[in-house]
Amino acid sequence: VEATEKLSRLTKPIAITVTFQAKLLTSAIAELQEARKAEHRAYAHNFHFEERLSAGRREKYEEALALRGSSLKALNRAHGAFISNRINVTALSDISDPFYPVNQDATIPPLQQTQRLVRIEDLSGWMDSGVFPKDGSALARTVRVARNGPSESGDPAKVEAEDALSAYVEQWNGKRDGRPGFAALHDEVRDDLRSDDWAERLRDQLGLGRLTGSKDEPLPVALMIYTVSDVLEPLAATPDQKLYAFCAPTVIDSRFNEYFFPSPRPKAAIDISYGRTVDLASVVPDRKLVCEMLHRPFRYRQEHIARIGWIRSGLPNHEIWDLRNAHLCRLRGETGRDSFGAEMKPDERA
Amino acid sequence: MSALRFAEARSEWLDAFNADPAEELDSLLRGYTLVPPYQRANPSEVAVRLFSALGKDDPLMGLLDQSLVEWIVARLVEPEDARLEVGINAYIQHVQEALTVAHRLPLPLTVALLHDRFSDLTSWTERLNLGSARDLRADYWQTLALVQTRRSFLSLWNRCCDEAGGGLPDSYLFIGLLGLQHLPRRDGDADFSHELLTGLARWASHLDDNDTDRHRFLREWRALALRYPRACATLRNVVAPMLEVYAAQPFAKWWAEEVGIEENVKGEPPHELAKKEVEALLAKLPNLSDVAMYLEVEAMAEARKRYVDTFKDAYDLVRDFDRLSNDILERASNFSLHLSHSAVERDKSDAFSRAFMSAALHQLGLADGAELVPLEAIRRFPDDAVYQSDLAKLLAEQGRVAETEALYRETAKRLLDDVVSRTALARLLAEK
Repeated sequence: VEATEKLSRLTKPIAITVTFQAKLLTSAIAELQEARKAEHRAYAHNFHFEERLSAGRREKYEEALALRGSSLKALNRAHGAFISNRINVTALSDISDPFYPVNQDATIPPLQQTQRLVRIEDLSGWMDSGVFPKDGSALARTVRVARNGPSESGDPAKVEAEDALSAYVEQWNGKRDGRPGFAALHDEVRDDLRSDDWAERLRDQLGLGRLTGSKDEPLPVALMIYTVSDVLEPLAATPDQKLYAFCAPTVIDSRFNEYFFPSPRPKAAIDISYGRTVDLASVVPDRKLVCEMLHRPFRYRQEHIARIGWIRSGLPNHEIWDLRNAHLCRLRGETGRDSFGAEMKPDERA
Repeated sequence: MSALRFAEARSEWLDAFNADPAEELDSLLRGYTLVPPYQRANPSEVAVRLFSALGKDDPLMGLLDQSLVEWIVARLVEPEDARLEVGINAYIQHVQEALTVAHRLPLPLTVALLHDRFSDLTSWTERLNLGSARDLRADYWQTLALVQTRRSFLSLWNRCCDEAGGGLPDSYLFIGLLGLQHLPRRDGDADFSHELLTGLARWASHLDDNDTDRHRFLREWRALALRYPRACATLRNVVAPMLEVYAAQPFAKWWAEEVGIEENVKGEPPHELAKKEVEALLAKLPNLSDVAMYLEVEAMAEARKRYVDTFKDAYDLVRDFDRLSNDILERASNFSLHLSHSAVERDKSDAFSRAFMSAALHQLGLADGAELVPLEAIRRFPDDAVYQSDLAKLLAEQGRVAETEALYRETAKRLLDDVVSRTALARLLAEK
């Protein structure tokens, strides 16, 4: 009976939430929906289930897309160009598409200024390019010394470490562009941060599928902790800039990604509706999904680097359809939207 | 399960790349390639994930190297419309990703291109600048700093340190220091090299005596010191000679305090004195008798050599000797030869010193010797087109047209990207 029910769920037609006007785009998404590969069908689902694109934002996307065919290649090319030009804007002070009023359906209302946020930064490229020292252990020691005790303690070793980190962070800021920052709420991952393998746990909890490492080649990462106020402070005093500084991520805010899952539109009774990260570690609904958001990028300060860690493993060995279906089940449960989205069929190769 | 799917995706992409390297690399660098689980990674990161497991001798790595060279050269010659078509912001990102791939993977052909086309690449990249995160010249120089295989860019790194915050943006200090950290070492060089400390000092010489600048200096020094953890005594040993040189600068006392040196030598730094002396000497040379000229130049040259042999920094000496050699070339060719030879002894990669040495020998009627200088340089630096060009000019001056033509042809054939030899060859053929 269970198998029959599952089959019936999987073969049910998908309820399409967002309607694109451009015919080529609609055809391209339809083609993806029928694709053999699971990741391609995931990209199609992400378009289909997206509820947080306002008509204005959707129109702007379609205008900018310059699609020249309905194949995945054509769609990906056009979408990649859109990301490079409209999302990865040139400077931290420039405004990326998600932070304009036209993105109102995804905007997250003002948060408490003292709310702490977390984010993982992959340092491997920054170390290779000389921005941070190649010796990750030495960098980790420096961060430990800098984070040891109150900032006004006057401990010379701490001051030296803070100064060195400031120089690295300044150089880093200079090379960072204005792409949005993905972040989660610190309170929701507090327990994971207590663990020795916090880097892997956060990678899994935050759905960061691109961050893989091994025992022989661990991937260095930085845990960034900062407040809502740190994000808002540098913004211009114009109300719009601060009002639209946080939003739930949508399908058009980053490259196509099988580990992204759109979030449902908030119910009227719920004040804030964040995005939700896809948990890479578990297909069992044993914990609450982590809230995620995009925010305006800002110039980091040395004190935002909370610690350095390493990812020493590949991704947990779950199939993408199991992860996404488990995510959907939890998402429906947590938001009370039982009809949101649709389950995904297993890969035909499996 | 998922690991198998990722392995299949990687293998599938590598097969596609093998079949059409130009198309697939272009797509990868522009961010159009989706390889699970790295869909959201930057293009260069994806490239590292795809290729780093291959050995440096793997044919696919060679194919990547060749394709990246062709991709960069294609960007250099494409019309401006191509940039506008993709959008200038996106266009710069694509080139940034290519440069990142160049330093993150072992790609010797690409590295050679970045060395040999320095002038072309610099003038091309400096036009592509939308701010510090999209400053393509900075990215190019930064990449060059990381992959440099010869010491010929020493003057570039020194310039970055000297002019950061002045003629160049502040962020170029990082590039200068990075270049000096990765400068190919000579035997016996320490990793905390004299050149690196001198680079920091060159930048710090522009700082004023106030708390803000003191903090800026200490921050840079501490960032550098943490990259090369050393015992306090070792740090004192490497810093002490610098304090003698820069004793009159405000940063010398901050540096001395920082590393625990109680007193530093006061007075005008030797290199500043030397610079002024050379300027003064050049100004009065035309009015001196031959004997007086010999005596003054020799005294100054000896003092400069003693200084350099003590502090192991030949950068200023080489430039000063080049200027003097040029100035006295016709009036005292033998002494010009002596100065340029001294400069070459201290920096074998300096093309100007070799050119003056060859010119002096030519002036003295020693044509064979004049020819040997660029020949020796070609032997040492076979990929540096400037020496081939020097030799060709020398041959042309002697009316040896056939040999000149053969040399230009050989250079143009071997160093595919050398525009100078191709242009000279075309001119020579037109004049025939």
